[in-house]
Amino acid sequence: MIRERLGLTGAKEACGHGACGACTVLIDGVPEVACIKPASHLEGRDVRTIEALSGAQPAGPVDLSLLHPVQRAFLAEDALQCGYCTPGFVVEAIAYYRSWRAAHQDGEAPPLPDVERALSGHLCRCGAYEAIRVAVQGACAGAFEGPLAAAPPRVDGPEKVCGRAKYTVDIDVPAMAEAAFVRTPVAAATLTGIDARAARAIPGVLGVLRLVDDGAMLRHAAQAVAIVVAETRDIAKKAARAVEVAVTRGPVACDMRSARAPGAPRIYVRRGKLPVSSEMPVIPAGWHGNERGPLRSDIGEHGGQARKATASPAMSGVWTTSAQCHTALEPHACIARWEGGTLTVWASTQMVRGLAEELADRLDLPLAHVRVLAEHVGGAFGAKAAWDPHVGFIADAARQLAVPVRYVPDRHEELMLGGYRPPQEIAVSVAMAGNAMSGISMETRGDSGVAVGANVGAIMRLRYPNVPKYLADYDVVTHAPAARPFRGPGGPPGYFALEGAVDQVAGNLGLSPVDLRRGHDPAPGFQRLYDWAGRLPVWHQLSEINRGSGRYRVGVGLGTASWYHFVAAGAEVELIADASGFHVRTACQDMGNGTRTALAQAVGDALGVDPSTVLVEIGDSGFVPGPMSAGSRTTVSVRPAVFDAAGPLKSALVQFGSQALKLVGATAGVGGIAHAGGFVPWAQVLAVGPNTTAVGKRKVDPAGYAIPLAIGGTAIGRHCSAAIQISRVRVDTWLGRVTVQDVWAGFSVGTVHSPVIARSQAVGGIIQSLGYALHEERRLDPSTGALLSYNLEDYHLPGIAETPSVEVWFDDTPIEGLATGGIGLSEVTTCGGAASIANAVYRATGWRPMDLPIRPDRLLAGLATLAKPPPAPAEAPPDVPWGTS
Amino acid sequence: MIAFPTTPTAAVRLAGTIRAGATDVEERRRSGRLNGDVVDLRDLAIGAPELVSLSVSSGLSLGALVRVSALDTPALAPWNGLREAAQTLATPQIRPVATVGGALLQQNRCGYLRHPDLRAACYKAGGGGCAARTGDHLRHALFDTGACISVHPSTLACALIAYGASYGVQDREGTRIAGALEGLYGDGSDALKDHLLPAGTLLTGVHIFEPPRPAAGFEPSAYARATGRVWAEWPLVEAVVRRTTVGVVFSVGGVAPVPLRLRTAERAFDSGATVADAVAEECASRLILDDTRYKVQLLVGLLQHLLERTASAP
Repeated sequence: MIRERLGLTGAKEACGHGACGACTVLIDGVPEVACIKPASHLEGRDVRTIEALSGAQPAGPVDLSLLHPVQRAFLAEDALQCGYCTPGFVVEAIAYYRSWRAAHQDGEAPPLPDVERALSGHLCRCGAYEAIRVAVQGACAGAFEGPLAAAPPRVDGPEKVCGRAKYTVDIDVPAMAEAAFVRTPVAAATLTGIDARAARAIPGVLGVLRLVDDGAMLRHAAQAVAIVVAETRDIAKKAARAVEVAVTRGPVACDMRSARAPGAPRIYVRRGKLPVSSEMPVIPAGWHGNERGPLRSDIGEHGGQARKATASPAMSGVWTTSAQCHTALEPHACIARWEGGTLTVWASTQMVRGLAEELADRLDLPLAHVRVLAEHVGGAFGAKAAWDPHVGFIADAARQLAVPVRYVPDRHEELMLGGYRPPQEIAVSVAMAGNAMSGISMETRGDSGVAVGANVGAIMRLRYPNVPKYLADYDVVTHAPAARPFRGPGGPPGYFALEGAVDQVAGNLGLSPVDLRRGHDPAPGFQRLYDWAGRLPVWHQLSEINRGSGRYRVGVGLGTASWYHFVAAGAEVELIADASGFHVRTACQDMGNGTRTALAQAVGDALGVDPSTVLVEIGDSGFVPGPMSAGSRTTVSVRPAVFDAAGPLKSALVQFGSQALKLVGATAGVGGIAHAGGFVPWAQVLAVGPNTTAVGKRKVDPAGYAIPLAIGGTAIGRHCSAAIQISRVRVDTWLGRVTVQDVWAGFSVGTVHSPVIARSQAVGGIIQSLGYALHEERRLDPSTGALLSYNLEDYHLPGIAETPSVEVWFDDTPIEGLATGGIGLSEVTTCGGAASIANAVYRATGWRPMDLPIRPDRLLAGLATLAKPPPAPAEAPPDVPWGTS
Repeated sequence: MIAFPTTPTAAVRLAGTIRAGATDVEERRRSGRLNGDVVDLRDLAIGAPELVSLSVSSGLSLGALVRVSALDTPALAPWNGLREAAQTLATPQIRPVATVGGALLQQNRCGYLRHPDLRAACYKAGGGGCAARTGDHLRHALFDTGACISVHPSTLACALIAYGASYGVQDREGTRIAGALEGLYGDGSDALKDHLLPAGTLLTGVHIFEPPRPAAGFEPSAYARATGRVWAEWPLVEAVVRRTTVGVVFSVGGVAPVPLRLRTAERAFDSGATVADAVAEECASRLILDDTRYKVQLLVGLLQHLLERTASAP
C-alpha cells in the first residue's frame, strides 16, 4: 500500500513477516513494521514514513541541513553500507531520539545496552551496527543538532538516509506485470505433470508458462517448474499456489552424510555442465558416486612431503561448518522490458556488465540491444555475481507476453535459492618438528548442493608458505540448491579448520600460538600485524587457557587469514568534464561496498578536486565496461583506470584552457592549471571549455601479475593481503551462550584510500564471520530437502546486541609494484573471524569447538566432555579474570 | 471477507479467524497459509472498554486487547516476571501492536506446520503425521507429551501461568471466568490444537486474583529465556521463577507442546534438592525426546539463573 500505491519507496520490504524492521514507519509516533499491518488498521491514524522525516527536501541533491539529527549522525559515523535497512533504522532511531531527548540534557548519551534494546528489531546484513550504535548515541546526546563539520564520507549516504536511493525493488515501470514461480515441493522428484487450468482462470492472470518438461529430474526442492505472470504480485502468488504440480518422489540425500552413505541415491546419473559455486575455474576431476575429486591445490608445495610428515601428526581432527545463507536484505529482484528488439533489465546484481553479456549471449542478441541497470544494490556478498536463471525466465516471459515483468523473490525463496556458503567437512593434520610446523594436511569435502566448486585448498595454500602442505578438495553433490560464492569463498571454513588446528597444536605443546605462527609468516605484512598486535594489552592472554569453573569464562583467541589480489584486467572508466563539473562513468555497481565513494575519491585525488563535487554514474551496462564487484577487486580496478583517464583529460583541459584563457606556461596542477600568471581552478576552465572526455583502462600492475594471463577478465596480482583477528569472548556455561565482547582486527592490504569506508567494510566482514561462527545455519528437512529456516526468525542473522566493540587497524604501508599501492579488502576481513572466535572459546573453556555454528546445545555438550569441575556456589559473582580494557 | 464487529456479542456470532494485532495472522494471510474469513477485533473496544483495560488492585486484570507493550509498566512490579516477559518477547516494533489475547492464542511456529509444502506431514495443519518427529526437531520439545512435538510459542502464557492466572471468555451464553489459564492449553496430548478454546468463544482477558505473597512488600519473581542471540529470538527454553511464602514456582516454555509448571521439580526444590536434582526428578517422570535432551541442562542453567536473580527482593 505505502510502497506500491503511494509510491513512498523509502520503507523497504525485506522479510515480509515483521522480523527485520526494514519497513518500519511511525504510526501515531510509534515505530511499527508496516509489512504485517493490515491497511484497515491504519484508518484515521497518523503514518509517517522516512520521506516525511527527512525535512522538506528539494529536488536534486539532498540538503543536509534539512535532515533530522539522527540522519546527520548516520552520515557522519558512516552507519550504513548498502543502505537497504537504513530507512528502517533511521525511523526507529528518530523515535528513540525523541523519547531520550525528552527526558535528558544535551551531552547525555544513552547507554549502549539501551540503544541495542531499542534497535533490536532491526537487522543489517552489511553489519553496520557498531557505527549505528555510535550514531544513535551521538544524536541523542545532541551532537548533531547543527551542520556537519565535514562532508559525509560515503558519497551516496545522503540519498540512502532519507530513503531516496532507488533499488531494483523501487523501480516502477509503467504497465509492469508481476511474476511468481511455481516450484517443486520436494527434492529428488521427477516431474509428471503440471495442471495450470485453475490458475489461468483466476482474474488478472496474464499467463502461465511452463519451464521444464514432464520427465525432468528436479534435484532440489523449490526448483522452478513454471512461471505465472499476473497484474499484481498477490494475484501472481495466489495463481502460482493454484498450479498443481505432480511428481514422482525418489530418495533424498540433501546433506553430505546421506549423499556419501552406501546405497545413496545418485544425484547425477549423467553429468552435463554442472552449476558452479566458485569464483575460480573448475578443474576437471574424477567422480566416485556423488563425490568428485580430489582437486589438489598443493602443486609445487611439497604435497608428498606434507603427507609423509602428517602420517604421524602432532594433532589431527575434523572440523565441520554449516550452510551460511548470503541473505542480502534486498532480494534478487529483476524487471525485464522489451522495446522492439531491445531489452532493458533492472536487476539487483554485482555485475551489470556481466549480466548484459550473459543475456545477450543466451538470448542471441547484440550486446548493444541489452541494457542492465542497477542504480543501488541492497547487499550482495557474492550471491549476485553469477547468472541467475530467473532473470532469463523473466526476460523470456516479458517477451512472450509483450509486457514488462517484474519478479521480487520473497524471503523464503531468497533463503532457499539466493545462495549460501557450502557446508564443509575438513580433516586437518599438523606435524611438528621441534617448535615448528613440518607439514600440514587438509582434506576437505564441500557440499555445494547440485553444484560443484567448493574449493578451500586454493586459499589455504596462501598461508604459512614455508610449511609443506597437502591440500585436497572434494565436492560432494547433494539434493540441495546450488551454492554460490560467498565473500571470501573457501576462506572462513578453511581458516576455521586450519587456524583451529594450529591453535590446538600450540595448546597441546604449551607453545605460544603467536610465536608458532610468527615463525611461519615471513611476509612483512604479517610481521607488521604481529608487531601491532603485540602492543595490545590482550596480547599475552592469547597463550592462556582459562581453567576456571565459574559460570562465565573469558578467553582470547587469534585467527589469521590471507587473500588474493584480484584485478579486473582492462576495466575501463570514462571521465567527463563539462560546465557542470567532473563526471565519472563506468559499468560498475555499488552494493554497499563503496564503489561510488572510491570513484569520487579517485577522481578527487587524480584531479585535485573535492570528491563530493564529482558526479559518479554507475549501475548501467551501457557505460564503458567496468568490473564486476566480486573478489575484492572493485577499488583496485577502477582507481588506476581513473588515473589513466585523468592524464589525457588534464592535457586536453590544459590545452584548450591555455588557449581560451590566454595562459602562458600552462601546466596541469592540483585542482586546476598552473601558469606563469598564477593558477586557474578547473571550474573556470570547464566554464569556458567544450565538453571533454577521456577513457582510462586498468593496466597491468608495475610489478606484473602473478599469472600473466587474465582468466575471464580476472587477473591474479602479486602479493596477498594479511589479516589477524583477536577476539575476546565470554562463555556463559549455564545458558550455552558465547558473547564476543571485543575484537581487535589488523589488516595489511597496502594503502587504504578511503579509511572510513574501509573500516565500515572491515567491521561488516567481522560481523558476518561472527554470524557464521555462532548463529547462522540453514536447515533442510532431511526427507524432502525443503527449507526449514525459511524466514528471518528461523535463520539467525547477528543483531545489534551481538556486536562487539571493534578496533580496526590498517597497516597502510604501500605495497610496491601495485597500481594503487594496495590490495582489495572486503574478503580478507571475513576470513579469520570464525577461527578467532572458536579459538577464544577454547581458550575460555579448554573445550575446542569443531562444528559451526557454536550453538548452545553444542557448547553445553562440549563443556560436558571436560572433566567435571567442582560445583560452583550458587551465588558466585561472574568470573571475569581479565576485566575489560 | 473481513468483518469488523463492534461488540463481543456480535463477534462471537461470526465465523472466521480472529484477528487482533494481526502480527501473525496478516503474514499468514499474505503468504497464502491462511485463507477464509477474518473477524477483526479493531473496533471491539468501543463497546467493550474492559477489553483494553489493564487494572491493578489486589490482583491484576488484563483485557484481551491490551497491547503487550502496555505490560511494561511499573504498575506490574508485583508481577515482575510477567513484566520482564513482556519486555522480552518478539521485538520493540511488534510489542506495541501485539495483544495479550493474540499472544495467548497464537499458532505455534513449527517449521513443518508453516512450510507451505510440508503441511501434509503435520497434524496441526490437518495432515496425517508429525514430520518433525522423524525429521529436524532440534528446537522442539523436550517432553514428549503427544503426537505433536512442537513447543507452544506463548511467552505470556508461560509467565501468566506462573502467577496462577485465570482466563475469562464470552460466548453466546454470556461472559464468565472459564478457569485456570493452564487449562486453556491442556496437557499437550492433543496434537491438533494450539489451545482448547472452543470455536465461537472469545477470550476476553486474563486475571490474577491471587495477590502476590508475601502480601507485604514484593514477592520476588523474574523471567528469562535461553537463546543464541540476545534479543528477538524464539527461546530454546524460557521460564518464570517465583519465590512465594508457600514455595517456589517454576513455569516454563520451550519445553513441551504446552506451557507448564514443573510441579515435581518445584516440590523437590522446596524439599531441599538442588536445581539439577529437582529437574532430574521432573525429567524422570516425563518421556524425553533424545535430540532435545540438551534442554535439560539449559533448564537447569536457566532456573539457577532465575533463582539467583530472585534470591533477594528488588
